[in-house]
Amino acid sequence: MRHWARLKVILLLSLVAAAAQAAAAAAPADEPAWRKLLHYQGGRSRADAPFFFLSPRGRDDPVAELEATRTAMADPKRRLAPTGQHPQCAFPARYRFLREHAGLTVTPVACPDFEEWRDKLAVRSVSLIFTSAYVENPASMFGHTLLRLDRGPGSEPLLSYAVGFLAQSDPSDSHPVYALKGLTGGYTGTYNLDPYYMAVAIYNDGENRDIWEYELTLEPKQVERLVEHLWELLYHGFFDYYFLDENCSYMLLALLEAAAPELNLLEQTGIFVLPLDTMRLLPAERHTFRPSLRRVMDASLDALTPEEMAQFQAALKDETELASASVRTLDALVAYWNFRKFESKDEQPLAEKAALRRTLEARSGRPPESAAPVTRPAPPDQGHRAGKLSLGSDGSHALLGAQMGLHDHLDDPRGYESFAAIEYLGLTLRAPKPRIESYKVIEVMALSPYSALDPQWSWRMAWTGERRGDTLVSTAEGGGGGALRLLSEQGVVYAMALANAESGAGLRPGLLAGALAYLGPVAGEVELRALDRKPQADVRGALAWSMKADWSLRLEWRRTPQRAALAIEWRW
Amino acid sequence: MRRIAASVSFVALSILAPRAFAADGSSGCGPGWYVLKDQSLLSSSLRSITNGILWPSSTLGMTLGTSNCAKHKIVLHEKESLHFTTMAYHDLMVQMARGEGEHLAAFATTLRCDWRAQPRFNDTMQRGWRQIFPADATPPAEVLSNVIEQIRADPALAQACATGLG
Repeated sequence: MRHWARLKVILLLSLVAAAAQAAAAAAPADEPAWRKLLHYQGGRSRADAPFFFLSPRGRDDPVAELEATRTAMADPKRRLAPTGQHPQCAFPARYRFLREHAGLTVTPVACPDFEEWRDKLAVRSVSLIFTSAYVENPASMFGHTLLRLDRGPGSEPLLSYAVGFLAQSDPSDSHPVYALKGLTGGYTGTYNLDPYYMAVAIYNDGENRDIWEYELTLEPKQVERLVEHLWELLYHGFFDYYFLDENCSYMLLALLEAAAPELNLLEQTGIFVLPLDTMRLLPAERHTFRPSLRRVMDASLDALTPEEMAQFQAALKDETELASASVRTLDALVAYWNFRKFESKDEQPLAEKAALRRTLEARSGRPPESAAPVTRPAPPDQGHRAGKLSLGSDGSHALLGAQMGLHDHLDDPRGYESFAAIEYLGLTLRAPKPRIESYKVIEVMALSPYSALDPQWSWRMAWTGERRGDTLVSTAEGGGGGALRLLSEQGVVYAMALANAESGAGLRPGLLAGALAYLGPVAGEVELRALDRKPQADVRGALAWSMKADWSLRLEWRRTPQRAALAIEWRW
Repeated sequence: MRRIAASVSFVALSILAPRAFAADGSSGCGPGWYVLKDQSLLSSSLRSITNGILWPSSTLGMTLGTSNCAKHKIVLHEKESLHFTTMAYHDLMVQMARGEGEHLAAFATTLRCDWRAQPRFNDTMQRGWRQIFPADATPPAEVLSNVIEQIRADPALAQACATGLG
């Protein structure tokens, strides 16, 4: 009888122990830290590499993954594809998590590769790097983000390593295919690590973009976990790239979140993740600004006296003028020829190459002098938010509008590229008796004020719809032309040739001309559109007053059909 | 254009896909290696890195000698100055002529020069600009060896950069 009782007790105890162990195993797998390390979103991991998981069910089952990982960590002979590392070395962040949160105690394996890499990186702090928009390439219209791994005070930022997430696209893909694949996950994305001086060369010089550097406030433990997780991602992770939401910014937030799960960054992003938004989500202390080549050139030209400007113009044509040019003039010439070199990509004329060389030779014979100061524009995190809601009236009806993004010519320009408008997914409804008044699928208008030294086209592309009478008329439009600066930085006039296709009217050539001006918080615009086979030119005007952070008032008027509307707008 | 693209792709390939050069049969590492099997990492790195950059042709790939995981992503200590000269070529060329700039300080660091010798370093580079960049597109390896020659020719500077000169 005693045997039975003892057996029952043993049975009961083992059941309790098994239950306890199951509970203990389940609990760590539920922790946000584990889920974020495995990049789970809902029930499934975003990672697409099979070797990111140690369990065949790992992609969908965090508990199974944790158990498989625990077993693998304890097996001294286990080696993982494709790198041949022991699991403790391939996944140091997961190894730490299991030790600290799941009671894992195993014989540690030596990981010389990982340790050498980690020690060489010597990361003490992390900076968020944001490159400004590059309107020529649709994939770069919203800017790009990187994380720079810094070695601490006294170290050279240029020699830090920078993490990016890039789509491995195929250059033989045509633009429409590139766009389609980029939008639908047709490309694989991977994390990359390169010295920061390469990023500066590519973005500042090669693509003529401004760079903003924000020093993030992270704890040493978070920095440590970030480095460990980065190793995991670099060698065992790839992810389908989705331009709109799982893009560079999103994936860098995912990396940060895995290192600092308490930050809860990803759930704060919207449906579309803009690099701009990531900056608002992260705690940062200071920022540094690296101006693009164009900005450096403009600053050096602005610093010239009228005599020096004459020297500059003379030296452009005749190299013998270099000998008598002032240091400031030489610096402006260097900036100009250097800018031209990158602008012309591989096709710089030999004469210009020679001119740069002669100028550098001349400059090397003169004493060092600080470069002309560049006026720093408002940082991008101070720019208005992307989305817009509006409530207004045209006198007889209420008008309700919503738009996903981003920025038009009348919005507060601070933090955005000058005179570049990018808008997408907007709708305006009328009430009462609801109907669609207008919609905007996409509208891009990039105005570049002409300068003899840096001639640029202005262009436009739009797919919109608007109510005329009882019909909703759809329009697709494209155009190109030029713009001239007005009132120094405060305004611009432009003119473009248009190709306009309207439902019901077919394809027509046309002309667009307008003017834009800013005076403090008020922006004004007037525009004339003349289309072939249309008797009257359409004239539009608008005034917008940016009242405070996210609020503005807008008044719009047009001649055909005659209408005026006033609306209050709120950014979200 | 094709020649530049080819040489830049060579550089890109050697930096991102060491497996191509791994003589020791190591399994190569990371998604870069994996992706190279089906898609063209070469072409993608071409797009991501070479978008408009003009880099003189270089035999950097051969000299990097990357052959295992750890070194693959971090430029070998002894190759840092060459890698920097290649990738920051244009910034160096301009800043050396101007006698000042952030890239000069970073460059001197890759050469292990004492930071206190920075003003002298900048001055020497500026004075020796024509010897450092004798031709229109002097290859980076040659630029580097010219730089080292300039350093060696100045005893005080040679002393300050002693550990880096090898």
